[in-house]
Amino acid sequence: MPATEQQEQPDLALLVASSSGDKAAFEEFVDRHKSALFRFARAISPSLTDAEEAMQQTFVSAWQHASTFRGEGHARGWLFQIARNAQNKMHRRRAGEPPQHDDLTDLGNQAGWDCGLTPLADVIENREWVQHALSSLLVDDQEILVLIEVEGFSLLEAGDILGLSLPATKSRLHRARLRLLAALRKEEHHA
Amino acid sequence: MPDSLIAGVRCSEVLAELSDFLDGQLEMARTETLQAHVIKCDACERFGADVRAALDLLRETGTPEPLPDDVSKRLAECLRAL
Ligand SMILES: [Zn+2]
Repeated sequence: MPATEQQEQPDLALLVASSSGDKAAFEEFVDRHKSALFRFARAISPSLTDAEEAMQQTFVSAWQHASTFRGEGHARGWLFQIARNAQNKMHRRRAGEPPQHDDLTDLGNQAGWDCGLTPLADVIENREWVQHALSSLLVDDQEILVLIEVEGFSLLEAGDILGLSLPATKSRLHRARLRLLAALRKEEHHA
Repeated sequence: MPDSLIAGVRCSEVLAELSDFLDGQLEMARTETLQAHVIKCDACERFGADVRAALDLLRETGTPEPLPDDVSKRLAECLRAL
């Protein structure tokens, strides 16, 4: 059988089967998404242990609520949303944590906008630099960069997962990108 | 950098709209206006290239790493208990 045929029961079909108790279907669903979910969980969790716990809780919750996935949008987005809600409950950051309101010019300057630095492409040595810079950012910045740049969600989809309007999503993404650049410049200086 | 006025647009406006510009989220006319500035402004051209370079690297991370063995094992145990 060609690979394309044996592969890919759609996520919706797997979740429908899961909701009627089909464990094998659910395990296939988990296998398909666990690595990406863990990467996202790491971006939104204070520690590796928390990320693992968030991932487990997310899949337990997905099993229990499989019938609530209606197939609008990606199942992966649905999972990420569950993970994020679980994490918010566990850490209650968003309620108390003030949003970052850095002045855009200051942010730009930290990112190297104000001076004729060597082009970033010539100084970034490897992908680990970028990973390291990413993980040095605050959760709000990391999660939107992972959703949009790494996972490839659209602005609208990411906004749904994060509970943000389109303008708020764009604004947060823009600032997160500038902070990523600033973090890369910092890595450059430490290198 | 000096906030130069080039092609009727200031560098600070380009900075503010850079993501929308790179993501194709601006009206055509506004895109052309910013384009006209960026073509003539070395600073904005360089900075736009920096943003693109950083994001390209991030996007290249692509496929996530497989779960570490112990994490994977504990997940399987957790699912078995459902
Ligand atoms: Zn300029």
